[in-house]
Amino acid sequence: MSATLDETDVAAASPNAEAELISRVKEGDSDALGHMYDQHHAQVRAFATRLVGDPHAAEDLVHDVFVALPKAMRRYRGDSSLRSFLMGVTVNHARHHQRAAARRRRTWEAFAEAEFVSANASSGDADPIRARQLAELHRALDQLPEAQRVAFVVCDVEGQTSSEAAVILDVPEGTVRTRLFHARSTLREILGDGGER
Amino acid sequence: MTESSRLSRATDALRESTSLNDRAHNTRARILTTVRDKRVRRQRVLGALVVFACVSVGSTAWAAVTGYLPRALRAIGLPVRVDSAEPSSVESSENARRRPRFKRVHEVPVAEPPTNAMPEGIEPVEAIAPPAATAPRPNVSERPRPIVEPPTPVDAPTAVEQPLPSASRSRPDRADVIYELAHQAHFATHNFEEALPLWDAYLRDAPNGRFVPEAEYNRALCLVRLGRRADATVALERIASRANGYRAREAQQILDALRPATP
Repeated sequence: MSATLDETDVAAASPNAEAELISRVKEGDSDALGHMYDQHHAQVRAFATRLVGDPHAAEDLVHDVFVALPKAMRRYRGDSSLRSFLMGVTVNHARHHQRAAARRRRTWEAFAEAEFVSANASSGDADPIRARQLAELHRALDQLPEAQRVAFVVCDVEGQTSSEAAVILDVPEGTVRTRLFHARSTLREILGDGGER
Repeated sequence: MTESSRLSRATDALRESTSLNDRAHNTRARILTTVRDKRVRRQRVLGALVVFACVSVGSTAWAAVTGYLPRALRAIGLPVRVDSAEPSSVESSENARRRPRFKRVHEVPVAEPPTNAMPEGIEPVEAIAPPAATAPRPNVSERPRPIVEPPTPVDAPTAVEQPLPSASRSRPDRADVIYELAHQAHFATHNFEEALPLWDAYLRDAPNGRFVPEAEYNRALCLVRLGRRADATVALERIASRANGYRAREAQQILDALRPATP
């Protein structure tokens, strides 16, 4: 679910204001970085949570993304939306956190199934069925290669088209489609077995 | 429940899942603190590098102006190229006298012995005879200055001290001066009676000096030139057994040339 726009977003939505903000972030202006965080942290956090499947790891990922943003902004040429650029930065920094989140999930699973489900219920879903579905999907995603996992989350979960995903991931569109195809078929196979592997 | 609907339901659940925002404020503060700390660290490193660069440049410039740069470079194992054997105009005459001419000292022991000292020693056997048949006295007549009284090696240090009072300040400098005097007597004026005690003095003064192999070899050549075959044989045998490279080979050649003449 996308973050709802607030007054800050509306006030800063003009292209000139955004360009000025980007310029100040590139120069290392801490205030500008804070403003950019206020405008985009919800979207980045939501994407990070879906990407790594763990709220704690997602929070660390959000931290890393915005700390790296002043330097990463030097590569931003304005040919894509800022949101897409932020998603690309998040993907670039996600590997370490994905592994940490997967390790944490395996640890919980080894401990107890019920505790694992309740731990993942901290994502905000009180529905136990939905929580179980989420848990199964995260377990299945953990078994995918990282590139396929990212392609699945960016396209099927975040709703990006394959061309938009190609810009975010900096790969050809055909590569995105291939990865997405393999991810879907693997996930169907895993979930078709009841989530057991 | 079909497989596709199961995946679809799970995907929908993931898409609609919300994330906690209660840590958003803490994360914001954490981000700005991290960025500030990185900037401070970067400035400190840059400051340290600037200070280090200034100290390096300043000390190198000082060493170059005061003439300590070649010694410092040699101390850390870097080669030093000396364009001229003559001291620079910056140095005082006293420093020029005290400092040995390293270029000549380095080059001549390698280049000259084979050509200057040995042609008659290696080739025909009778070439060894000249040191005995031809007295070294002609060299004495060519002596430019009576620096040393040859018979007593003890005089050699005294001879050294007379022209160069500053040579007594430090033993490494004194040894280098002795070496240079021995080299001049041996290769420039061919005064082997004068050179021999100077080689002995160098070997006594700097038993672990850098030019010990050269001094030992040149001393052996002096003994050959002065007709002291027995002493020369002992010295050459020691060099041939211990040294590597051309010195050992040439020492052996001289020994071979000496032996047929030895009864």
